[in-house]
Amino acid sequence: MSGHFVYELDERKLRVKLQELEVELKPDAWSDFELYYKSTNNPKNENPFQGLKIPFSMNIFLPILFGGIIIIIAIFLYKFINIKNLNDNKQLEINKAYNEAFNKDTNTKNQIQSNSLNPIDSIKVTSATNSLNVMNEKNIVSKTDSANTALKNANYTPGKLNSKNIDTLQLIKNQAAKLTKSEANSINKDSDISKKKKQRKTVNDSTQEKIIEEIPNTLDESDASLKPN
Amino acid sequence: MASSTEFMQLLQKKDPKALKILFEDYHNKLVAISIRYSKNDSQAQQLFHFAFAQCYNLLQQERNNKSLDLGAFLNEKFIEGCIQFIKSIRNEYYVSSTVYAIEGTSTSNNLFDNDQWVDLNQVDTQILIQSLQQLVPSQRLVFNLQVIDGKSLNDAANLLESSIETVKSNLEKARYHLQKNIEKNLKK
Repeated sequence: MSGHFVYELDERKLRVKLQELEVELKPDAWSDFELYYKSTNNPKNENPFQGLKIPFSMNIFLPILFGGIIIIIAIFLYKFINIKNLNDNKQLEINKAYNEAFNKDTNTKNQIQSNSLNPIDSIKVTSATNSLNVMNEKNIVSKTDSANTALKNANYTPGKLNSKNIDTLQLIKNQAAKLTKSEANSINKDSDISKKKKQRKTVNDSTQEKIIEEIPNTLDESDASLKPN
Repeated sequence: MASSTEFMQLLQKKDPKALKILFEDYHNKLVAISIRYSKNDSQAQQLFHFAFAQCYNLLQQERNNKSLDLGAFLNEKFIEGCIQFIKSIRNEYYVSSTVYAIEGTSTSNNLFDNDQWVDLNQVDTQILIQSLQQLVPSQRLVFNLQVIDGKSLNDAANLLESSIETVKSNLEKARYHLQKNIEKNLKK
């Protein structure tokens, strides 16, 4: 609005006049309003299904609908359209044929090898070697134990040990090792397991006796050498 | 009678007799308000029916409010109903009110023409209402709220869901056009 415009209306008088204004009640006014009110607030008489409200959100329904359509189309395409190349199919067929031929060859080779070798013999050999290894370990342990006991019987304390005593101990150990090696060789030569067991028992006993017999002799020799002339 | 608790209880129970009494008690005043807010008598009747029915429905929600001033409540809710009704038909109203197919009228855009003092004591209320009804709906709503119903600018802006600047602008336009309309109608 322009600043030059002069507003000539007296708003206070206007307000009073319009606020005091009243319209006379017409005889049809109530019936008109009653009709309007019934038509707007009583919809059950006109349409009984109008009050039925289904909780149905378009924000949920539309994404589900479109998603379903996309999935159906994708399944249709997956079933009726082959995406794989023909070259790949040929290569797969060649690989299958090669694998079949290779499997046939390996089967025949395995059959031939199985016919030539008796599995029972191989099992026997392996079991024998395993048992020998176990026995040798036991023998070594027992011999070292017997040597230690012999040393104790001879009343040799570790503080008294000299270089010569150590040499004698090494000699004992070497002898025990030789004996065990000789035993192992003798056992390996025999193929029969029952004989080996018997021999091993006898050998163990004999070696232990020998060691026990030899240790005092060697100790005497060493003592004699230690004594001043 | 209308302020009694029994009457309020009957109204809240949707008793048709109580509704008729309420209608008869407040009809004259509320119809006058609806005439101010509408462009003609037929629209005023529609507006009155809409706003009064809305007021009656809102009254059901005030069951716990024992200290309810029924006259003030109805006045306030009726004005809100009027604004809602006018807003709902605003597009239609713009078309019908902005196209003037009147022959032989010469409109002057000079603001200094016909500026004369209007003595409202001598002006008939019918001319005042007619001049007010000739305003554009946005200007008419603002003028009614601000000048006649005594609402503040902030309240008017909140009720109309527009900015204060828009309300101020519409108010100035309404004042100018109302004066021009009164002068024009007085000449007739």
